[in-house]
Amino acid sequence: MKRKILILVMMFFWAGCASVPEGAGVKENAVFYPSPPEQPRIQFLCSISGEQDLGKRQSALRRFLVGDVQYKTLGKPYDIAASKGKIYILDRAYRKIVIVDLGKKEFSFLKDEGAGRLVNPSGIWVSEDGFKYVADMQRLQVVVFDGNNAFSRTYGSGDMFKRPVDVAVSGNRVYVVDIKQNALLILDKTTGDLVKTVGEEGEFFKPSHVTVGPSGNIFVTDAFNFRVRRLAPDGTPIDDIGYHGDQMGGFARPKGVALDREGRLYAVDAAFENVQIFNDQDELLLFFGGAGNKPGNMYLPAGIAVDYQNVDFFSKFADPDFQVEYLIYVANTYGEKKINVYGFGHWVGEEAPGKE
Amino acid sequence: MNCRSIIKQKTLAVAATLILGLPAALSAGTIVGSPHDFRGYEWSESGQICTPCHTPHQTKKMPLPLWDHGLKTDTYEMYATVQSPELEEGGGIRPKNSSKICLSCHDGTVAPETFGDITEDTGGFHKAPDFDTGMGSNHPVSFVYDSSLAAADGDLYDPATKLSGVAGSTGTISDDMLFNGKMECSSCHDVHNTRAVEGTKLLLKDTAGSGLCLTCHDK
Repeated sequence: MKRKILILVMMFFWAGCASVPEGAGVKENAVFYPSPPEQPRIQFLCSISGEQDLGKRQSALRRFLVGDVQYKTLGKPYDIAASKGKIYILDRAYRKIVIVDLGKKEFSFLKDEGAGRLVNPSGIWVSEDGFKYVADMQRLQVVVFDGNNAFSRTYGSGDMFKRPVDVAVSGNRVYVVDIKQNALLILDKTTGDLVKTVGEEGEFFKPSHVTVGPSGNIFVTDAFNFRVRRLAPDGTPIDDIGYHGDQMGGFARPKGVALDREGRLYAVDAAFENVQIFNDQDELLLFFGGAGNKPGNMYLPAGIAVDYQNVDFFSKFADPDFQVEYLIYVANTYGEKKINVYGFGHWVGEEAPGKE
Repeated sequence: MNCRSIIKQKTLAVAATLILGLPAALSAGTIVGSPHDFRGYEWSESGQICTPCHTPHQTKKMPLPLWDHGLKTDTYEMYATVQSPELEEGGGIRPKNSSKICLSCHDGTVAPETFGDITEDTGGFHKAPDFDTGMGSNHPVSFVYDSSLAAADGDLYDPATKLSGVAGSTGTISDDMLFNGKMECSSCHDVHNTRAVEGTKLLLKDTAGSGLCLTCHDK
């Protein structure tokens, strides 16, 4: 019994993003990738599965008046995006977008009513102007919400889309992967017109996720070709990252992709239950996560996002000697820990734990 | 059944189709021509039938990650099983073992899935968790289904003695439907289509009259 309590207590400390365990010392619990003595690049910071993990507390008065109020929880996160102060989680169990308000420490649904109603959303993109683009597989459209979360417009008319599963936006282009057409569709952001279809010559086999890099290049998870394809902004294929196999740098179930500002590619694999990082030369830099119940482990992960805007909310979980530059969110479709939050950074302590 | 024998079967099926003019339905009863046969697509690179699900242990030899030279292995573990009784108590039963192979593709985007999805209310079978309470239900997988579970539940047949009723078998539930004594996705879904009932979603038994459910549930 004692052991069980201890485990529960430890789980509480590790589980949420609410508080740093007092007196425990961050350093002892810190999970770094790679582990010392290698130079640490990424630290696991915390997980978000419900409002309680943000540190939401019920006031004594409220509890007295209305009794215990349950915290809102995540169901089955599949894709993820962020803006200043907010994280947007596409939750497959609710078929909704869950907005995580980091300041208020609250969850709410994005109100997708009327013309903006979502039927079966699969992928989300949040652009720098705060607009949310949601690919809806059943509505056969990309539904757009503005900076105030009001319905703005849609993309995809007639039979343009057969099964749009993910979307990314860059410049005046909207990039949509259609898993049924085995194609990447490039749309004019203003007019909504189809500019180009990439895939008519067998370029893709079940493309499932799409993202845009800092130079405007497009990255498509080519799921059943077990690779990530890099394309120029106009859709011209450049090269492929990864191969089919279980050795490092390979893919078995590639899912979400994201890039940092240095052009490093983060690619999720649900079979390895990890994330691999590649540089712009397609060389493997690192992998992190892995299966299990330990802090930082993943459980059939899918979506991923890189976030430079909310470091302040999570830097308290970082080791005092580890400077976080940006955050990495990974959505686990199963398991107790729904969203894993990692920090990419560098060692600033007097003595680096390992060689550079 | 290994890949080689499947390919041999496929060759036979193709030959039979050519010689006898039999329809492609001849291949029912194997993975060939089933929803899990992906070779028909022009995009399919390898033309192999097993590798989409069963990732080859290979292929390229890559240098160790540039940021981590201290590794002892260069191979990833796939579908690792998570065992933690402490977590099971609080969090219910999570997919493990072979069920993870299914759910790694059947994620709702790459391949259809309804496990834990909201969809239509089918008597709580696939019910999404409530946003406010986190409570929900769907059919669990990766749990031990044995005589003692049946006795404790009261509404479950003893898998060691109850016959499965799977066509062409005289075996028990344990023999025909459990894997290492556990219920998995493939307890009901015959993913290799060697015994699936035609016209179903690769089900081992017909759902008419809830026959599949009543195999285990004594209602």
